[in-house]
Parts: sequence; C-alpha cells; structure tokens
Amino acid sequence: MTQKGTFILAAALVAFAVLVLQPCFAAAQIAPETRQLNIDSFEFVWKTIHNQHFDPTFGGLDWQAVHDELRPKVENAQSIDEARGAMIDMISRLHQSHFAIIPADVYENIEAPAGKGDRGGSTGLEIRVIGGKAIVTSIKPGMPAERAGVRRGWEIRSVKGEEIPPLFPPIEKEFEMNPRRDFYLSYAVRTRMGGAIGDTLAAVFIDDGDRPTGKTMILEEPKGKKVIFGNFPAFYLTFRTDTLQDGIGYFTFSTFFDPVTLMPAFGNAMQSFMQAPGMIIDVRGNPGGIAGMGMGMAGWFVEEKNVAMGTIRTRGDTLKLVINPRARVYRGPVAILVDGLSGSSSEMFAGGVQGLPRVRIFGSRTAGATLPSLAERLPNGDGFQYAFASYISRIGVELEGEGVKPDVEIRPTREALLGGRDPAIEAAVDWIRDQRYKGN
Amino acid sequence: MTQRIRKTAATFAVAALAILVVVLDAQVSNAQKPAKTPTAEKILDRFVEATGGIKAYDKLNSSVVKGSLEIPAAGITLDITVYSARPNKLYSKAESPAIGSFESGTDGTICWENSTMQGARILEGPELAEKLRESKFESMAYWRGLYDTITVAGIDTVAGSPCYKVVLKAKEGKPRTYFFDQKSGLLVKSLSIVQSQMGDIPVEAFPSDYRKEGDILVSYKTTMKLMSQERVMTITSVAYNTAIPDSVFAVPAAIQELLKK
Repeated sequence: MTQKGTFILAAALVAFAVLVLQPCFAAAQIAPETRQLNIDSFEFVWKTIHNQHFDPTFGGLDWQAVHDELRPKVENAQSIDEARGAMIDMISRLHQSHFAIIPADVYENIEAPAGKGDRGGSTGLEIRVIGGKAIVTSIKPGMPAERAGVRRGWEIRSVKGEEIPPLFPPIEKEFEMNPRRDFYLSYAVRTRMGGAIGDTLAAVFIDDGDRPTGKTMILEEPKGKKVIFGNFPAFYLTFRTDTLQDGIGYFTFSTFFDPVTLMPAFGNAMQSFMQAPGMIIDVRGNPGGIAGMGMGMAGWFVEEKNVAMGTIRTRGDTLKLVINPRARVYRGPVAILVDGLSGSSSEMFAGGVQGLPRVRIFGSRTAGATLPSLAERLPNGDGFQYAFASYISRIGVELEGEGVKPDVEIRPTREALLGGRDPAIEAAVDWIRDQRYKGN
Repeated sequence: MTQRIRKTAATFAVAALAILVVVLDAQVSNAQKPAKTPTAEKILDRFVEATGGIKAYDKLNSSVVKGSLEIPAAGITLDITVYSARPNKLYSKAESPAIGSFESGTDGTICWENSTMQGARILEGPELAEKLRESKFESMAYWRGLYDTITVAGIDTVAGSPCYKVVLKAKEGKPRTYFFDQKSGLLVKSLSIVQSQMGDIPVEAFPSDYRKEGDILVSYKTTMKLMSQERVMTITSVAYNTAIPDSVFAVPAAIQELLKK
C-alpha cells in the first residue's frame, strides 16, 4: 500500500484529528500477544519523547502524568485502532508538528508498484480554500481530473454527495490564529477527494460560468517518481523547469526527497539560468523532506561563505545549517514562492534565506511545522515519527507554530485562476523586473 | 585504522545527514585515580601491540575498507568505502539511494568534502587540522607526534570491564578520550568532538568485534551515539597493501573549481 506525499505535513494533523475528525474504532477483540505489542509500542513512544524531546520540560506538560493516564487505555484497548488512538492522544498533547503514528498497513508492499485497491488514489487536483470555497489551483497533467475536463478556478461544491462549504466554518473558528489553518482547510477537502486506486469519485464543481457541473473520476496513483526514505511512507517526486517572460527562470518541485534525482535537476536549472534576470523557486504545496537539500540548493545562489540558514536545537546542542557556495553562483534576484501548504523543509528553505539581500519571499504564510524528525518502527508494526529538534530561522524566528511570513503577502483569487493568472508569480516577476541585474 | 574509520564514519554521520543529527549522552562515570597506573604512552603502545605490533603496521602501505553505516532511527543504511595510503592520503565515500553520496578526502594537503545534497567545500581552520591529523596512515599506531599532551585521566569501566582512560590533546582541535580495556589493551570506547561546519558535535563510540585481518586486529563493529541517536558501523572487508591508483586520492573537479575562486 502507498501513502501520498503530504505525510510530513500531515503529521501536523495529529491535533486536528483529535479535535475534528471522528475516531473510527474497530470492534474486534485482540489477542494477548497483540495487546502486549501495543503496550510495548506505547512505552517506546513515551520513552523516546521522554528521552529525546528537545524541550526537557515538554512545554510544561507533566509527561509522566500523560503516561499514567493513557497507559490503561492501551492495556484495555479492544482493537489496534483503539490502542493507536491512545498513542495519538499522547503525542497530540505536545501540540507540535512532526509527531505521528503511521499505521502498519502503510508499510505493506511499500516498494511494490501501487495497484488497484491501494490507498493513495488521486484525482490530480491541487486545492486551496479561498474565501470559504474549495478552489482548484492546479491540475496534474494526464490525471483523472484533467481528462474529466476540470479547470483551474473551479469550485468543488460537493464530493460523494457531501456538501463541502459547511466543512470550513468550524475549522476557520478552531484555527483562526493558527498558521496551519490553510493546511487544515485544504486537508478537509483532500481527505474527501482521496481513496483507493481504482475507486470512483463523483464530485460537483461550480465551473467558470458559475454552473454546477458533475464529474466522475477514477482515482489513480499520483504522477511522479515514487520515493522511499527510511521508515517514512512513500512520496512522489515531480519537478519542472520553465522560462517565464523576460527570460526569468522558474523551478518547482513537489518534495525535498530523492536528492540523487532532484539535486542535479535543480543544479542544471540554476546553471541554465545563470544569465537570467531573475529566478523563481516555487515551493507552494511542498510538504518538505530532507532539510539538508535546501542548504545545497541555496549554495547555487548564495556566494558568501559561512552563511547559515538558521540553527537547529536539540536537547543538548545547537547546530548551524551552513550553506556551501557553489563554484559558480547565480547573482541575480531570487524569488521564493510559499503558501499555507509549504511545510517543514520548505519552510526551512524559505526561512533560511529570508532576509538575504537578493532574496524575497512571496505568497502566504507557511504552515509552521518545522521540527526536524525521524521515523522508527514500533513493536506492533506501526511507524512512529518524532521530532528531536527545533528550528530557528536565519533571522532568529522559531518557525514551529509561526511559519514563514512572506515579504510580499499575496494570495490567489478565483478570478485570477479562472483567467489563467498566478498572482504570486506575477508579483515575483514584477519585483525581479525592478531589480538591477548584476550579471555573473 | 580503527580510529580513522570510526572518525570517518562519525563525519559521515554528521555531514551526510545534516538533519538527522543529535546529542551526546556523554556520561562519563566518576574516574578514580588508581594506585599504580601505567603511563599514557605505555597504554597506547600496549594497544599497538595488542592489535599486531608496530612491526606489523610497518609492513602496511595502504588499506581498503568496506562496510556499512546504519542509522536505525531513520531506517537508512549507507554503504561505505575508505581508501587510505601512506603517508596521509585518504578518500572515503558513503552512499545510499535515499540520500546519494557523501565523499571526503585529502591528498595530504587539501582536505575536502562533497555531497549530493550539499555540494562541495574545502575544509579550513581547526577542521582542516583535525582532518590532516586523522588522515595520517594508521594514526592510532603512529600516534607519536600527533598530540601535544597525552595523559591518563584515571580508570573507568566500560560494559563492566575496567579501562584506562587516556586524554589526547592537540594544538588545534578538541581533546579526545580513549578507554582501553585493562585486560586486553584494546580500545573499547572513545569520546570525541567532531568539529563540523554545523558546530561541535560530541560523539561517543564503542568499537567491538575485533578480528584478525592478516597480522592486524581490527574492530569490525562500532556503535556510535551522537545527538541521542545511534549509528552502527559494520566492516565487511579489509584489504591491506592493495594497489590504489593515485587518481583515487586526487582532488576532484568540483574542489578544483572551488580552489580557482
């Protein structure tokens, strides 16, 4: 089975799941040996956080009391889901990103090609909630939504008969001041648009003429290269290089994984745009991955030595994330595009170079989910993702729960999308045009 | 070789996985001053003797070591290869499909690193001094002249066995503490601080599984703790005195380009 590529940011959903989603507990009895494995897993999770959390005070939480309260729930759990629910409850008490319990079935056949019935089926739609409406912001070429004739700017009004707009007010209220609000809003739609590969999904859209338009799509495996990184679920890597007006370079990519593929692609793009009047790097919707890749990317446009993209703090150490300038460095203006679905390493990348003289950040506030993490397997077969450090940006902001605030705040509108426009790119292009090109 | 491989692995662990890093649980139990403790020089010489003797080391001109570096918490294993030759040439590579490669080396003058993720860089300052010191061929055997002071810091226990604790200090770089088993004379633990561009990273290492390779006793397994996490380095093969082309130790093109800047 496979898991689609937003896992790292989805880890931020632990609290959301507890607050908003309905728990789904199976009723089947579990064997004594399974019960013991669940207890062992619970203890592993508790002890790992106890021993390795970067904040030994756990933000004022009485971690021992959390253990003592929840362990009986695992001991008395009548199903794996119930035991897992107690563990999710435990990690959610931290109210931090990058703590997650990954169901064991996510790992089944993880390296095999995805097939019918595997989870993670996709329509190929990217969605943002704009003004209380779920709006299609992009459509992956060759995917079911494109074949069905769905267009950018269309609103998703209902999915499988469920009205979408009523989902948003309670989320808006709950996360009014939370930088992850945009993520939670989009995720509420995404989960309803997802399903198993081969599943049929019927949705009603409001098209560009404001007419209700029904579409039926059969979910497919996402496009891109399937990437496995350690004990994390599968991600799908896509990237694209483009030349915009005036010869401005553009590079976008779906995740910070698979450096063997992505780093040369990024390097080739930067080399091909060495004489360009500006460069746009688009990490909107990018959930992150390996933070070190951002340091390597920045080395293509930062020429000073010993520039740090901020620091990470563990319980015992503070480490600088230093950029290694390449032999030949791009010296023009660099615009980085972010939004509320830019998470983790995307935020460290943007936050790591924000404030440098030739760099500007455009878009909307990022998710604020920036804790460096690892994922281990538990005795019961589940995975356990946990943060072991915090991250402080180059300009000294602890981004967890804060996110990167763009230098130029700009959000998409339905009208712009329907008109084939991208306000963030337009703003970046305008800024680049205003810059004096230094040459290389 | 044991020390150089371990240091190389520690460098891999730090530099190749910039974000998977961590803390040293540098607990050193209270040292006790023994009534009769050999000098630090004698303890180091005994280690050399226990691992084959200086005459055996004198016969070596090069080594090629292959193995793996496992990061259990991340579910990642890197293949590692380390080439070294007299007097102080070193080239090492760690790679995995998940993170690409991390290379480092020296021709005896220039020390460098190059990785898929973070690109190339030339080492300077204390990092350079440390790298040059550790790149001396079989530096654990030829320890004389590498450090300014070597002192016995007492007796400690590692896995229940009494050990001599020896602290080595060089002009540049951080002190390093070795724990030699009193009975066998072998190195069973070390505490060091890897000086990286990210900062100083304490590393606790436990060499074990000593096996004879030719006339030399080699540690085939080293468990390391850095930033609260574990790394396990396992050697699968050691080959001495094989012909290593000079090109292996040559400064790579990416570094040559940086040198032109």
